[in-house]
Amino acid sequence: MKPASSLFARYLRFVESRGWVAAEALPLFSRGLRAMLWTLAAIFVGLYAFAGPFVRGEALRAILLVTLWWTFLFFAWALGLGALFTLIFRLARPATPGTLTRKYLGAVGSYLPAGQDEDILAELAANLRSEMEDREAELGRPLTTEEAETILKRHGHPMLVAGRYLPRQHLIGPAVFPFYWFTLKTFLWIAALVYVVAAVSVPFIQSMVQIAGLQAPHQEPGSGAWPFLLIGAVVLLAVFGAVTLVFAVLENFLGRSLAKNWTVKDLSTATTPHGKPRWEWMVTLVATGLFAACWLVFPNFPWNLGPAGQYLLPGAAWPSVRIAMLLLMAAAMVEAGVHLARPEWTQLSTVFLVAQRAAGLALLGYLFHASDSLVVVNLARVPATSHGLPQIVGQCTYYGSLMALLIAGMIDLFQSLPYLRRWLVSPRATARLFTV
Amino acid sequence: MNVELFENLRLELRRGCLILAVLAELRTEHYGYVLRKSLADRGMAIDENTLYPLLRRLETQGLLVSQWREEEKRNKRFYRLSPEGEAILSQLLEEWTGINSSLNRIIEGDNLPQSSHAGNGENS
Repeated sequence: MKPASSLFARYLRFVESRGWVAAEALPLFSRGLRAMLWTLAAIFVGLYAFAGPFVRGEALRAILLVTLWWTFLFFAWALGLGALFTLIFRLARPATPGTLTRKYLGAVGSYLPAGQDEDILAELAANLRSEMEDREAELGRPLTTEEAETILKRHGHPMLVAGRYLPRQHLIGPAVFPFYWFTLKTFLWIAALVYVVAAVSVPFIQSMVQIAGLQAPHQEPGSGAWPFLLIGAVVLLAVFGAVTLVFAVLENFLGRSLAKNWTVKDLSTATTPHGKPRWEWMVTLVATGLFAACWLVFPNFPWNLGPAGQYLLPGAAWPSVRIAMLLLMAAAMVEAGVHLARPEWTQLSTVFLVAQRAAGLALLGYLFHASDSLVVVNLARVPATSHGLPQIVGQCTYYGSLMALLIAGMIDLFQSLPYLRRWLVSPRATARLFTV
Repeated sequence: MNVELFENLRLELRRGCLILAVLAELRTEHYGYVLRKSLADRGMAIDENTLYPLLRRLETQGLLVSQWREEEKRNKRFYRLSPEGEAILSQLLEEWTGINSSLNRIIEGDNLPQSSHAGNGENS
């Protein structure tokens, strides 16, 4: 079948299934529609073939407008004609088992894949008619409209019936789904966290900068709870869409091969006994190394303060913090290196884990304690209007270090809970966890 | 009792059996509706929405062949087992017999101590 006529047949089934045109009126409607389509096509072809080469500018625009207007009129006319036919036929003859069946099949057909639809519908129609005839034989009389409707309804919603014939029923299959679900949850949490931190901190920093007199105050348009929630929802939706799209593509290419192409050897080298993937240790090693290099290259002040760097200088407590940070980073790199080289040394990793957490908390405690002497304002570069800046900076470092301490403490507690629970439930199980 | 859980497990249990039943029944030529009726009459009722797409899928896999033919002044699509389908069916039946006897042995083995207390024929 030609694509155009297949499209036309699908359109007819669609208008019939929606009840816009009655089944009895369909042949007449179809003929009328075809005649109108050909007439319209002839008018347009004639218009463009003869007048097209000679018109420019305004005249051309006028012709295009006329074309659009006629197309609109055509569709309005077609629908009006269909509605009129439907009205006439329904008034003349109420619904019958035959019309209901045709309507049902039309609805099923509108959801079927092109190319197979006619064959599937013909088979379904034959089976349905046989079933109705059987029922009629049982009853000894023709079926009423209600009885026919009961049979059709028992077959199920047209969309579900058609869905059974579709080759693939899922976007992300069972093989890929666990990875998809894990990644989706992780990315949604990260996106939500980053968005909330950014949404809360940006206005705070702006107001601090304005209070300090570094920038003229101005009102952000559209600030408030609704834009915050709306943009947040859009961000989460975008993350959901992007992750789903990536995994749908992966499902297409990897879904089947994943179940076949794997070896136990790969599995044993893919993760360490502590459950952290090997690549994660590699990333830790490289990222911490780069960060440590930055701290060494920029010895006097953190390089990532951005524009604020021109107004701030390191305070008396800064050198101690810098050395402590370097030591922590060195410890993290040693830990990652040990995990990569000797993944079986799990007892050592537990020691690292506890020591690092303790050292991290101690450093944050020191930061909080020495927050007033961590950074000082470079008064030589601060404008005369910004006398409030030292107080603002003092408050920022105080509350910033307090927040960091609280968050780190909560994360440590949260991550320690499973170990604590295991230890409380069974001390032996905890011992096994660290020694296996 | 968890009705939904039971229903899911029942459907899972029936899924493989349905294919076997359809293939076995199509050693004789049938069209969709008559096949469904014939299976239902023998105690293997199948939903239309499961059977009709299943027939097409089995045909695509080469296990069935079909033919449009007029019967009682109406065109119908008749299915029957293909030569490849026959070979697969005999393999599947062999497998089924094996599974059936293994299951019987397992179930009877589990019930032996109970039946000695509860009496005979209760679980048949």
